Parts: sequence; C-alpha cells; structure tokens
Amino acid sequence: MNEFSGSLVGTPVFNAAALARTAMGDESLQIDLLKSFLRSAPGMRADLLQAVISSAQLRECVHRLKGSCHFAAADRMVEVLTAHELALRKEVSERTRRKIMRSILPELDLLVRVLVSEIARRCPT
Amino acid sequence: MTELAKSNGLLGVGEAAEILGVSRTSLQRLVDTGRIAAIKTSGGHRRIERSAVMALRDRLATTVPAAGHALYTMTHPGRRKIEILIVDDDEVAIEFVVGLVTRKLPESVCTVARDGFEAVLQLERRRPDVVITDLCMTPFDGFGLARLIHTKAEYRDVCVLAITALSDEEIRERGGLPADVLLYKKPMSPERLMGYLEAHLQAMRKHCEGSRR
Repeated sequence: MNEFSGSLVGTPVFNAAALARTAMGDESLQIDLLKSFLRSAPGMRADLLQAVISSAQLRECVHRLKGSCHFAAADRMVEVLTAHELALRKEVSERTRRKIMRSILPELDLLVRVLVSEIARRCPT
Repeated sequence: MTELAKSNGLLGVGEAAEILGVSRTSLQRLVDTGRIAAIKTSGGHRRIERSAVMALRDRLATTVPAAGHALYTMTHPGRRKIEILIVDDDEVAIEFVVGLVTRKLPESVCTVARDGFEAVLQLERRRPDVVITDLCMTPFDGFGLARLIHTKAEYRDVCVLAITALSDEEIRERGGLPADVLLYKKPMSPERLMGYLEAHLQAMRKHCEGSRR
C-alpha cells in the first residue's frame, strides 16, 4: 500500500502521511490512534443510526464522527461529513436524513476495513 | 445522619463531598443534574448512594485513559510538572492529546474528564495549569466550562485551550468564548499544541525560580 492506501478516487480514504504528521512521526502513537478509532467506530455507527430521528441529533453525531476522523487521518470521511454537517444546519426531512445516513454508513464501513488492514500491515504479529 | 440511612448504604452530602474531594456545592450540582443518584428525605436532606459515590470516585481517579500510558515520568526531581486537564467525550481525541503529551512532554500529568461536569470536579481536585477542552459535549459543554473558568477568581491562573471543528460562525452562534481562551481548529497542528505547552512549562519554571530568589 502507498501513503494514500484505500483511496478509490480523489480524496484518500486514509492518509498515512497526515497521520504521521498528527503523531509527530511517532509510530506507536499512530497505531494507538488507529486502534482507538476502530474501538470507537461501532459505538459511533450505533449513535448515527439512533440520531436519524432529528436533524439536530444527526448533525451532532456527524460533527463528533468528523472530529474522530480528523485524528485518524480519514480525509475522505472528513470531506463527506463536512458536507453533511453543512446540510444539517437547517432542519431537513426524515427522507433526507435517511439519505445522508445511507451515504455515511458505507463510507464508515469502508474506512474501518481500510484501517484494519493498515493496522495489520503495521503490526503483522 | 441516621443510623438507618447509614446501614442502607446512604451518605449525606458532606460525607459524599469529602470522599470525592469536592465542595458541597459541586456535589449538590451533580445531584441536581441527575449525574449521581440521590434521594430526598422528608426533611429535605439529600441522601446519596455510597456505591454511586465510590463508582464516581474511581472514575475521577483515572488520570489517563486505559490505553496504559504512564502517569508521568519525573525526569527532573524537584521541578514542578505541568498539570493538564483534558476534557473531551471523544476517545480518539483523548488518545491524541494524552498520547502526544505523555510521549513528548514527560514533565506533565494528564487528567481526563469526559464532559464539563467531570471537568468541574477535576478542576477542584487537581487545580490544573492548563485545560484542553472540546467545545461540543453534552450535557455541559466546553463553552460553559470556559465561561465558568473565566468567571471564577480561583481559576484565574488556569489557561484554557479549546480544540474544535466548529466554524467561527458556529462559535459565535453558540455565544462565543471568553477572550482569554486559545482556540485551535481541527485538524490541529501537534507542533503548535506542544509548542504552547512547552512555553507554558518554561514560564512556570521561570516563575518558580523567580519566587525562590
């Protein structure tokens, strides 16, 4: 894998160079950050599913997930979430909220898969 | 307090506050906001479950996350360490700040609070030099925490650093922050954070040396 491992098109799913910068080059901190994100991911996914009932709750969840994604150098997810957060600044219909959810969940699942393989690559044992 | 209440595992506000190492006011705030389970007697006194107090005490005693970082390393015995309170409900953000600080600034002690209420308790218990806080938390957010620190005379030496992904407009919409709060936007530069903390530590040392002379 290269430093933009997991990238499909455009913005990388995971940006290894950005993670290294975040951790000031410390490899063990990079791994800790990735593991921490993966530990939090199921809870964040569940929170998102519950938050679909209101625009404000969904926006809050999206904002929190975006914060975590910054520290895991999940560039594409940050981009996706930033756009949704902006859209959720005003009240939107349940249909729109579900549409937003349907666009986030596959991205999150892809990100998790990419980060799992990244950790496996860095910690082969 | 009656023997019956004691035998039922209930504590008075004073006893509970003493166990937690916080003021009665802070404890009452916890009770009033439902953060700790309590009952009111017919005479209007609050009684708090001992088990709930002990659980909260254990939680507050966790100065760093369970990831296993050392509490601190005393590289220069006798020198004052910088005490940092990290307030965030995002485990990845906590991992970032604690991981970075404990690795790059060994003369530091990190305490973690997972919302504004816990932060208020830790402020009383630990008297941190620096508070690094997220802004979006429930039920008591970083805005409220920063304002509380700003307005209370006993915390006038506490430096507050807010880390957020909110835009300037969103911060304004939520009432803004006191002027003395340093605002760092995500994605934040680790060099900037460490630079600030190192400068703060240097200033503390100079101040200590100046006082000794």
